[in-house]
Amino acid sequence: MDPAIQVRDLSKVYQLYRNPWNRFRERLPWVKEKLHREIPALRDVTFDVPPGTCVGLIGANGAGKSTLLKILTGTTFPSSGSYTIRGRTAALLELGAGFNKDFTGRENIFMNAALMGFSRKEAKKKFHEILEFSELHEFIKAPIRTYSSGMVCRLGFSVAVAVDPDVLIIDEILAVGDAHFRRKCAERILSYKKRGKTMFFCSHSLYDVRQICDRAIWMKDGQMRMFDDSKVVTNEYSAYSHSLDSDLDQAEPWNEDSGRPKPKKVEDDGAHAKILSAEIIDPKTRKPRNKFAPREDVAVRVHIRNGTRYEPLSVAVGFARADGTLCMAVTSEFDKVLIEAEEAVVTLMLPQIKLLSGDFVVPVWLLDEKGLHRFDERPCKKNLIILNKDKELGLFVCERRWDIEVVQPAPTGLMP
Amino acid sequence: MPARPPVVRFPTSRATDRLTRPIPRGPSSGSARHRLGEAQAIPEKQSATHSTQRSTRLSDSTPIVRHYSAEGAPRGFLKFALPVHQFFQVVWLSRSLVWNFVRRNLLGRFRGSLGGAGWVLVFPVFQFCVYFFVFGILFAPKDKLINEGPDPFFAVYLFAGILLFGAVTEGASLSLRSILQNGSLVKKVAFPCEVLPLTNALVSMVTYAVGCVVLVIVGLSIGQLDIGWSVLAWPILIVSALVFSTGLGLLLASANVLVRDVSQFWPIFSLAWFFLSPVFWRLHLVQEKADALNIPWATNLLVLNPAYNMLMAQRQIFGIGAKLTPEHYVSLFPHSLAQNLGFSVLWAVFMFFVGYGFFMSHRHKFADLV
Repeated sequence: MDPAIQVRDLSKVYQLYRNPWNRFRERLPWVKEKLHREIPALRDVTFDVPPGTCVGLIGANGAGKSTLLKILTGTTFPSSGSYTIRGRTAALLELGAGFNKDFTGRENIFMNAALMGFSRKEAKKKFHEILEFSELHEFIKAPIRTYSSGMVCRLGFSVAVAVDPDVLIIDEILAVGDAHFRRKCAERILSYKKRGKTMFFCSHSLYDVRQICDRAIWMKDGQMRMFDDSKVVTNEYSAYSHSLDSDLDQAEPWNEDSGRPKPKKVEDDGAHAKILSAEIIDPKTRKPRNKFAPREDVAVRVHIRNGTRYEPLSVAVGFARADGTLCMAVTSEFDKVLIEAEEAVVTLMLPQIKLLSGDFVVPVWLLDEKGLHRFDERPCKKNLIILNKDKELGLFVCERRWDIEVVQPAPTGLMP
Repeated sequence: MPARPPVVRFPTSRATDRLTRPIPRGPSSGSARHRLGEAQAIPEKQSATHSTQRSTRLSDSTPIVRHYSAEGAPRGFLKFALPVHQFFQVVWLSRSLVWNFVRRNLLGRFRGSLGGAGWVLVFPVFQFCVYFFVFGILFAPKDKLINEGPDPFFAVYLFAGILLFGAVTEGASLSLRSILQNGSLVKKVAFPCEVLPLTNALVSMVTYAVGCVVLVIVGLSIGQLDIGWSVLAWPILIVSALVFSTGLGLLLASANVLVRDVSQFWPIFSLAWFFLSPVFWRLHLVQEKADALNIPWATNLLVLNPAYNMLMAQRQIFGIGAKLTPEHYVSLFPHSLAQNLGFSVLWAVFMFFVGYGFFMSHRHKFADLV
């Protein structure tokens, strides 16, 4: 099977002129010197994407992710190298491109659809599907200057996903609209994947990349640093950006609540699933308690309530040190445990906790069944405090054993 | 596995899925050469039968292959200007897009206004009234072939000229900034941006046509028009003005991306062009002046102006001046309608060829320069 996307030695160099005259002076036959700076945005990128694979693209700002996406989309062109894409392509680089705020939602749907390449007939056929997805029924005849920015994004996304391509190129556009709509978007993306479409997906959320993509590309300074299984790449990248001790990886959800940024607000209208309470308890007495010794049994009790839509939920619990280092995180979805109830108390049992002394923040998340969308998140009431009475140092308790192989016995008589 | 048919498409999302064309085979290599923007197909096992043009509908299960190689991409004006027919293919296949743009431009002007589309009519009517009183009655230029006194003929003559000249330059001025204004589209959406100048030209042709209706109505009512068979040639003039304006728009739009000074220079140029074109003046009056100044050849240069033929054809089509004496008529219109139309068409084709070639040969830079 031929690869769906084939990229060979793709490079893109931007020329930067200090002033516009230099562009002309350089053309003159007697001007020999270079009057511009060359900014390489992409350098010799080569990879193959087999059909039906979902590839995530990660990397810091300015690493060449967007340039690569734009080249593959066909809006900008490489300086050298070549690419081949097999199959109909749709690119979702910007939502609501070409929207005019004086026109109604309906007119803008048709305009946007024409830009996406629909004929009038096709656009008419798809119109109801688009309208249905956007949930903007009563506003569709109003000019979009009266829309909120979230509604405009919803409209844009609805048109964008009406395309049914073989190859889908997506720039970071999942974070659109309210919680409910974001979930719909994520679901739509997953359904593309399920139907065996090839996807090329750029995101700053390592979590999304890990959840959605099969493979991932890590771009660094215009070069491909790594192309491997998405879990391997995101782990490497995460380790790398932590080692830099920079804020590059802020978008990584596990980090968000562990100290630095404030938890994201999820609207509190009762329509969505919520965490009612979360606390650390002693599994034997079932009473709240937050001071433990290493190797003691710990449990985290989470009281949740399902939203009005009643969907299967999963719960995630993390342990983070006060400085933000996430020591451990698990979701029930990893273990194929889903909660199907209107209200439930979920208790995570952690027999013989391996953490050593320290003060740990315990964030709890409420996720959908795929572990993709976060409905709610909050830390446990009290931090988990582990008091070590032994001499062990560090973060973790390790099961251990010492093996000694005597290479040369001590000379007799010298040992006491 | 069946041989892959060579399908060439514009690198857009779907529009282009239907944009298929035969692969231009490069002279140097057997492999596919690429046209920027219009994409390329790679025929790995290409069979001769497949290189005929065919259209791929979305429903087709034909695999679509899009290939671009920086090394294989054509460069240079002629490589882009010669396959000019591709422009018409693109326009036809993305007609829905063209229609949407035209609609947006036309309706966008009147959105939210009380008068709505009625404003299209108000301006030319007002314009005519002003010309009639100012140039027909107040400052009628002296023309000894016509009687002294008020000169409604000149008002009609001027109005007819301004309608067409205004339409052509308006279309070009709108196009001038079209690529920059739609920068976010050019950067983020792969769509055939060469249709933008065409949509602007179409919009200005609509206002022109409305203006002509006003011209006919008021011209007939003051008895200065003589509508005859020549009006049947009007579509030829409209098409050539449309093509000319599109070509000029393509040239200006792409030049303005490369050098922003174009947008500063264009108003100066169009003002000069306005006075070099027979909007205000009549050729025989200029000839008199030129003879007096002892430069009789000057008028020959004025006739070389592309706008000259179009403006004269415009007046002949509506029979302006047909009520004059034959002697006067010939001095006013030294060329026949057929001559004027023929040259208009030639100018339009030439302008389009230049504009399209220039636009397409620089198209690959747009997203980086916008």
